[in-house]
Amino acid sequence: MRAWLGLGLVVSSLTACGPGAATKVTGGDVLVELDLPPHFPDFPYPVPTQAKADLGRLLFQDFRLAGNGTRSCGICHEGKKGYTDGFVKAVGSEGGAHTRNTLSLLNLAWRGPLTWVKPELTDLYDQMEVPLFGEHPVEMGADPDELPARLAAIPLYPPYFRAAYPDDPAPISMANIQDAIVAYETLIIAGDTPYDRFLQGEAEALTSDEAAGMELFFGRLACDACHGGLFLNLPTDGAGEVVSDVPEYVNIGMYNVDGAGGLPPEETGLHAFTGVASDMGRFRVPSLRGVAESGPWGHDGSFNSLEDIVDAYARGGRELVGGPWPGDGATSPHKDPRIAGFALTEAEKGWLVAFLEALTDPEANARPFLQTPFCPDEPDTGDVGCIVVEP
Amino acid sequence: MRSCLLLSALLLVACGDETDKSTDDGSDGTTDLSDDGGDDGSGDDGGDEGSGDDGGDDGSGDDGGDDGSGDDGGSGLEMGESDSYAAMGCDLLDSEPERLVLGISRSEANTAVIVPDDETAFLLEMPETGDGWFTVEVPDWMTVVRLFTQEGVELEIYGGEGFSEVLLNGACPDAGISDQRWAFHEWGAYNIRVAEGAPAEVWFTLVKEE
Repeated sequence: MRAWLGLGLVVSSLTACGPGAATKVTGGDVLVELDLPPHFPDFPYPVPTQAKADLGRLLFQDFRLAGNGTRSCGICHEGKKGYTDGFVKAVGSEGGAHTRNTLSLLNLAWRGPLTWVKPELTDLYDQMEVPLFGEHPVEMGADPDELPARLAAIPLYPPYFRAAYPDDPAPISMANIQDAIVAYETLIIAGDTPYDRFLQGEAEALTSDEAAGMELFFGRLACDACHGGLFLNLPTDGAGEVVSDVPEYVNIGMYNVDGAGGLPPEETGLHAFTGVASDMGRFRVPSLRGVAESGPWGHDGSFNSLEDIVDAYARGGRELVGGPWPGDGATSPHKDPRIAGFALTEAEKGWLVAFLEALTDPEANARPFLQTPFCPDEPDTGDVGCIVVEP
Repeated sequence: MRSCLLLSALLLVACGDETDKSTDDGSDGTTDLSDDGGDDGSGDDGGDEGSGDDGGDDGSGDDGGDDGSGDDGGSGLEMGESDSYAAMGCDLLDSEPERLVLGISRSEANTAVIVPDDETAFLLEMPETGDGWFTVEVPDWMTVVRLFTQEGVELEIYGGEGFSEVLLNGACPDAGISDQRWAFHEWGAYNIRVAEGAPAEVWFTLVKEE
């Protein structure tokens, strides 16, 4: 709770607005009071002003950013779903199916490479153009030439833009829209999981099952060889020391559709960009924070449960007997040699899953700052502080 | 014509099917989809709203009496409404179905994914034995989806809730297509089990109600 007092200040400026009013804007250069979890690294971005964070929250949660008004950033990165969308593969605002599973935004500020397959895409500002403006596939379907004018015509926004960018004579610009959303996204921070409390010395923070799972994770099973470090996404050596500050790209043996290690052609991993055969099926190792809430799992959402994932690792790769892409991933020549399989009892599997579930911050979704400020469509929600969106 | 086209497709399927999954034998060349193949002793007449696992497929021949339709191999379902959505389902009988190989377990359901677009029909290829599994991605909230499949095929949908019993599609009752309304409160991915005993290839489509 203490860590979030600063963010609570941000909340106050929005929740003070009555329905439709939304005129109380935090001005000046007051910075968000960042009081990070004590064991977290330094915040790697400039701490935003409160005004900018407020604006970013509005923009992040507003469906009107989508070309057809059916998507917001926040609905595809929903807190209760671990800041993902619950789809196997994302579905765009125009109904088109994507080829990859939506990634979580939790602790995005420390992410590094942002997508499943593009190591060079590390800048949030640049990455945002993919969901906002991308056409292949369409995600939000926004038009950069039209969006600023559309927002300028909504009475809610001009005061917020002026407060967030007081020195800009034309503050409602695409650059500022992206900048404000980045500011907000970097504040999606969760660091109060049972595991975090254990790391900070609270010996009883983990249940016995969770503790046993942790021992397996960092011990015999060496899951931290890929899922190491504070965010459980960095490679470590045999002693558990992080050996790189960027995640690896790994083929975990999910597919072998042709007997030669092939993947379904719509999504082949790094290979699609490099053309290098050994890059077939290599995807960025994701952080495991919040993993229990972010299913379905895997780069294409084809894992249906955490137990299924553990089974695949224990087997040394996943075998698909049916479905469109049968094959034995364990025999893929492109599979990472660390995915060698291991023996695991049912009890041990349960412990391991319990530990993964202990990586969820139970309060991460409850913080008002991370909720949408807009009223839901359904009447009688009792939320008198939300902003009404006029049809 | 519509029925004939569909029947032709099914007859082709039946020729290549050496399993006993389907009793839609098409032997007289005139069968339509209402010949639900339900008399295979599977005890599953598909009339149980598609919602629950009736614990069927035990070969008991117990039809459960769930909808009162009995299991007479004929069109035992009650007639559904002939509305515009039912008609859309019927119209899709005329389209070339997209093939989808089903997973053999729930763990494989997410490898066989359908995103409803109101204009594609599917031919679901069942595993040689056991249930078939796939996933539907429902891209909207508070959505009612109409699911159309061959009469006698049992669908179990994980999540959401049934808004109707399994009915005969009233817009094309001779085609032997079932029609059920299913409500999804939230967008997301929903696993569907096609119960063992279905034909080797199952015609299926779905339409979102506005």
